[in-house]
Amino acid sequence: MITYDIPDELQDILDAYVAATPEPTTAALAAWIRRYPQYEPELTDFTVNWSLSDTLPTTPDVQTIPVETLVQRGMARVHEVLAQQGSLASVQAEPTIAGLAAEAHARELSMREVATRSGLSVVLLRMLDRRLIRAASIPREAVDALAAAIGREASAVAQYLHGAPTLAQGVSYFSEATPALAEPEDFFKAVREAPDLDEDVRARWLALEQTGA
Amino acid sequence: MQQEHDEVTVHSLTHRNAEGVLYTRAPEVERQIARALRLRPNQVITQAQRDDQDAADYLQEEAIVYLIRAAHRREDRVMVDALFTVLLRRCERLFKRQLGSLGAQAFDDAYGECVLALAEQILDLDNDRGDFFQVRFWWALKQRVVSTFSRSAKGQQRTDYTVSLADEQQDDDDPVKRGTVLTDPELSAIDRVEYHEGLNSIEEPYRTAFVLRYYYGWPTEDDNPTVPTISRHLNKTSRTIRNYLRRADEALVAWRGGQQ
Repeated sequence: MITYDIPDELQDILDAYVAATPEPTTAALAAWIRRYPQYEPELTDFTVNWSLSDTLPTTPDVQTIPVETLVQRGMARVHEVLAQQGSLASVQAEPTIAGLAAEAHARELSMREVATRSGLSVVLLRMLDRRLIRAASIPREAVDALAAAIGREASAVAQYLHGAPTLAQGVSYFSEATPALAEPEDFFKAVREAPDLDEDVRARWLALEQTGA
Repeated sequence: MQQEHDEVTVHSLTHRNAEGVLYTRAPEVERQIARALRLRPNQVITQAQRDDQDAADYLQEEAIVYLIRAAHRREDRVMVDALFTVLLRRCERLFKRQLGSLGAQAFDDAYGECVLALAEQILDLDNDRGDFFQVRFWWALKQRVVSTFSRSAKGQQRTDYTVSLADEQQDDDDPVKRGTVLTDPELSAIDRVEYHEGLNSIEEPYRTAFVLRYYYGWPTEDDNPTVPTISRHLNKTSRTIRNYLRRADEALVAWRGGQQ
């Protein structure tokens, strides 16, 4: 699906025009019309709108749109394109993961069993369940191992891990204000500090930090 | 054709410009891509998320586009999502600056259309129409954003404006006032900024005539047919254009009076 019909040749010309022209001047427009007279109306129209969009002030109601809101809206359009290409089909068919502990429970697995299957530890697993580990720091091998352990697609597990950190379930907090969560920590730091991880397993995970730099 | 960078293969661009010349990436972009291809996916994401443009490992947008296509080719949805998120965050300022005068609702539609076009051209692996994003990303984006602005502004004009018949009529008795606002030598820099903010109070087509005349120096008319003029662009007589400019001037003064 192409959202607007613009001939390839015109797009190439406009790309070159914008790249070669610091500002939309009448002199530059006249020069490019001489090069491509067949596109005089399009070049003129583009130059006029380039002038307007460069000059007119942004309205306050646009200025105050938070960047994260814009990014979210934009990513929704990206996903539309991916869905059209069929790439998201398998992910969309997968129900979202509510929690790693919940997934384990649904499969009648204990957290210890999931930890063993995935090569992690219960402490690490609980941190991952609460998303207390920064998603970008989690190696693909760990995501794949978790997914295999709970029988879900790696992409669904990855999506879950990118969510916001959560408070521990079933715990009471004596506070008038909602307890604040610490910033998620680095995966390898968590591996170093996990008290219940076998040393050979720890070494295997830490070896991933060294490779591919 | 591929370029070898220490056993890492960076696929060359295939699209040709309007003159038939093959697009090529800047050498620094090639190096950034080659370096990134040796990293693990989460390392690439972390690197892309760095904001410091002066950092040695800063990933330029041109390189990020290549990495998105590479991730899409191997169906790495996490990487595609993460890198597109970085790209959209970096583009936020340009979108707001170029489309922000449309107002929130029209901006939302135009922004969505732009991102859709951006995603289509980057993610269509069977097509090289988006190659220019890997050559000069910001100019490629600007071209598409301005084109979207054009369509959106035209849509608003069809619904919003009607021009008074008086503006179209010959009016030889009317003294000509030519943009007293911006040509006033006593106008301070602060005042100019204020009047700039008032531009959105001017209705079309007066505003277009005003911006072209007083911000970009377009002549109202010219005997030379190869010189772009406001009259030829708006297909109106020069007298009508002068009336448009007067209307714009009056609107600005009224707006300024309302601000005080």
